[in-house]
Amino acid sequence: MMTIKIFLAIVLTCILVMKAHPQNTTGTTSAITAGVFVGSTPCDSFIKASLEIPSVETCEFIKWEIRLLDNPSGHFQLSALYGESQPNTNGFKGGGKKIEISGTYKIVGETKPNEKHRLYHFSGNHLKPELLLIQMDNNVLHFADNNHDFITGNAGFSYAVNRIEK
Amino acid sequence: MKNFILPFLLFSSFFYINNCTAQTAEKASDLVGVFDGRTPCQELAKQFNQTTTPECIKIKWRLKLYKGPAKNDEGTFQLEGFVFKGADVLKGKWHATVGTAANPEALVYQLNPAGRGAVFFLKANDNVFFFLDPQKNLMVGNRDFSYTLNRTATN
Repeated sequence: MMTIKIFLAIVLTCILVMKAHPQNTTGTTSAITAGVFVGSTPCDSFIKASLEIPSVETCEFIKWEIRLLDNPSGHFQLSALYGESQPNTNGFKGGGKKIEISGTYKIVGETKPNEKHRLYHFSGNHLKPELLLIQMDNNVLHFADNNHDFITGNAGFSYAVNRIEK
Repeated sequence: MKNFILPFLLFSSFFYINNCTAQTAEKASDLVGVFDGRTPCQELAKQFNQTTTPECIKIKWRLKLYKGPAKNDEGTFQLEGFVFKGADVLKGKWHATVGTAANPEALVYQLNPAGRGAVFFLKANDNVFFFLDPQKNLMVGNRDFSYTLNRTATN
């Protein structure tokens, strides 16, 4: 009788653990953890619109720093430095202009067309429309368009950002 | 007898040259796409067993993919960048496979340059490719450069 009770207790424990940690439906191992992501991307019109950069301003590329804070409500702090590139450097003429935004992020679904990556929605003050980022793994994120697909960069810059701090 | 030797040699040479050209030169109509990007230098230099200087901070890459005669999931490629330029452009065959270290379902293109180890790319969609390391992990870039190639031209 005691053996059966122990067996049932083990089975019940396993069921509870499985419910608490449902099997991953995405290809990536787990949700993104807190940390700092950086990268340089093009400055296409939708990014300019999202960051509310006036269309008349020169924006050849953007240097991002996205800080995912370690709290359960999913807060982030973002800085975007943009401007006209300084030839033969990785910087901007005059140092560039900086935008700072804070807000929250959450998982909103999966990507198209293969739907194997988590998609995160970043919303905050001065972020209209909101930004979408695809989780490639725990170290690399990639910007997505409104169709939840990867945005294509150019020969100089891609739309990936990379973890530099945990 | 001598009258036959010269035509035979000429015919053999023509056949040999023609056949070799057919094996190495890709047709423009078979071009799947041209993908460009700038990546950090040091890690990929190590991966390609090339010595470099600490001053090397970036590599400009151009990948041309060509489809094979029968299937769309294999073909030939040219990978240009770093020391692989001009006559030293990396060439060989590619084929599609499945699975990165983090994602067993991810679509991966395996490039097999002649005389070198395989080069792996994660195909995110038809326009965006990520360099993978030999263990098929995504490579992590920095503030200035990522390990990503973007479609810049198609056939």
